[in-house]
Amino acid sequence: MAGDDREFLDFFADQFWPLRRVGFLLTGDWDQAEELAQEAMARTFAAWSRVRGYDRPAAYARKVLVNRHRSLLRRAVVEARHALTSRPQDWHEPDFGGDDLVLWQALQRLPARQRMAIVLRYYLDLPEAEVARLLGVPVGTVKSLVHRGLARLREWLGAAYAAERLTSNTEAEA
Amino acid sequence: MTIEDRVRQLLADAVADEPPLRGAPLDYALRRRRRRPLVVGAVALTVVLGAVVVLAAVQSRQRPLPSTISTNGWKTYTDTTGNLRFRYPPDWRLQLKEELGGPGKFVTVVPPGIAVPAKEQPRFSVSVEAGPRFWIGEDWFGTTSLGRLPGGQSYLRTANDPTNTTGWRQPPPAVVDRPRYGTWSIDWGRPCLGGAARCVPHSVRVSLQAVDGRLWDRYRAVAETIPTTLEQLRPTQPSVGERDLPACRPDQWRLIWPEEYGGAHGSQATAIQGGVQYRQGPRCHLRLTVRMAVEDGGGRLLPVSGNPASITWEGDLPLDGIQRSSGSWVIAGMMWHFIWDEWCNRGLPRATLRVTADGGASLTIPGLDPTPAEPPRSPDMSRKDRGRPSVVAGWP
Repeated sequence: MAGDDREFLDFFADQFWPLRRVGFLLTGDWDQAEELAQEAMARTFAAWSRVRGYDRPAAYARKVLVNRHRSLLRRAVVEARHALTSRPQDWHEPDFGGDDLVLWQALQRLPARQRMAIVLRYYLDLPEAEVARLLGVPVGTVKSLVHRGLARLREWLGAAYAAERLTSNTEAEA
Repeated sequence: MTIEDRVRQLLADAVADEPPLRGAPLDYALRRRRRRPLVVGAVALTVVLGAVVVLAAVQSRQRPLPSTISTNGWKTYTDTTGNLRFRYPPDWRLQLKEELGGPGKFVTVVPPGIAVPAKEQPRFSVSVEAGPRFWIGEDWFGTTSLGRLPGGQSYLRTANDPTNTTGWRQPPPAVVDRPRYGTWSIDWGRPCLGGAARCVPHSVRVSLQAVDGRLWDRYRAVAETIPTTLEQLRPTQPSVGERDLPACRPDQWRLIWPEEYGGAHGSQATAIQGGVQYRQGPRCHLRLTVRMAVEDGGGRLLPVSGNPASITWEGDLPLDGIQRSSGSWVIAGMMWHFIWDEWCNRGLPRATLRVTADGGASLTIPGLDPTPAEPPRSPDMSRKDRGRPSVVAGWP
């Protein structure tokens, strides 16, 4: 095995699992998450001779994952959005209850770009500029996507966040 | 705890209990690079086969819907919160899903013989939901048509293009085995439910979905009739606002494009969406003719059918203006939409979109660049000239 292949093995060991988690938060499906992460890793490896010289090879793999997810959105993923695929017996979902379950379900129902922006911003804690780079949109669009996504989540959560919503509206109108 | 902190916690919790792998992703990655020449050959073969499938599918789709379907004897569903009622066949089942709905209820109707599983979508269904939004970009895909319901409400109807194979795991299933879906976005006026703050434009969204082309062909005609029976329970204020208010002065507003493309790159249709930002002064009514021209770098109109397109934007300020809060656009007001079908046509790369309105207001929007972005994305075969006419139109 060549030296750069060994480097990739280390990279894979470090980054595959975080990528898979991001994939799950984007799709809500561990199988799709595994495929996304697997595809991102395969494409990263295909370009490894170039990518290994980057400051942040993980950012490259993440970009591939997000691109792949976006390219699936308008067909197979709209299919997923409409939840048409039958779920296997061992379908694995987070064990949420109460408001957390409402919030999780609401997150799944967000438009795809809003959900991506929220996951990248609040799970990976990426700055808005980095989220914009990953999504291929201007920073202003990221702000707008996050803002609208959070507003929808607040709506779905209902009374618990009514006060916050009122405050936000007041600020927006000021 | 703020909503942001709550979301952070939820996302971390959601992946805390991670299931084991199902496959062998490392083997896959290593194998993929070694087999690249084979993959290139396979992709070429897939392109050829795909072209054959697309040709066959294009010839077989677009079956005309029956001109009329009798709704005599259909049941009526009424939702007072959403200010709507619609009719559906007596043997179809109605399922309420209120847990995540907006102000209106989220309901689904399902044909006879189609199971309604507890945690899954039925294999064919029609869903109806009312909500305070005028945002169509996220539902933008495939073929489109504009029209009005018998009650006069304007609608935008979309349906996916099952022949588009972008992003499918290879090989894609046969066209007839691919899911179908369609959406009606209907201008539902201003029901003004829950006080003046809610007196914003609403829409009703009807979603049709089928797991495959067989079910789609079987139930589509009846399903597409359901949204045409939608009626308002009581007349609402029109979404265009209060025309009795004083007319807005030119210094009270400006044209805004909050950097939003609604997009369905797979279908090569995109919606360019913007609005009006309220700047100052007393409450007022604004009626604008907004025009969008697709131009080349020299300001010449490109040969796009319907170019330039124009629509009327009408609303009240400040309520219907797009607001800016903490540096972000808050998209809650009336939007203007220009829908550009087959934008990635020959001769159109890097077109400039020039939006103008009465009084000299103007915006220049960077055009759509069909060159794939880097780093590499998956092969997107649809982002090419498909020999279909490029058309631009406004909505509503």
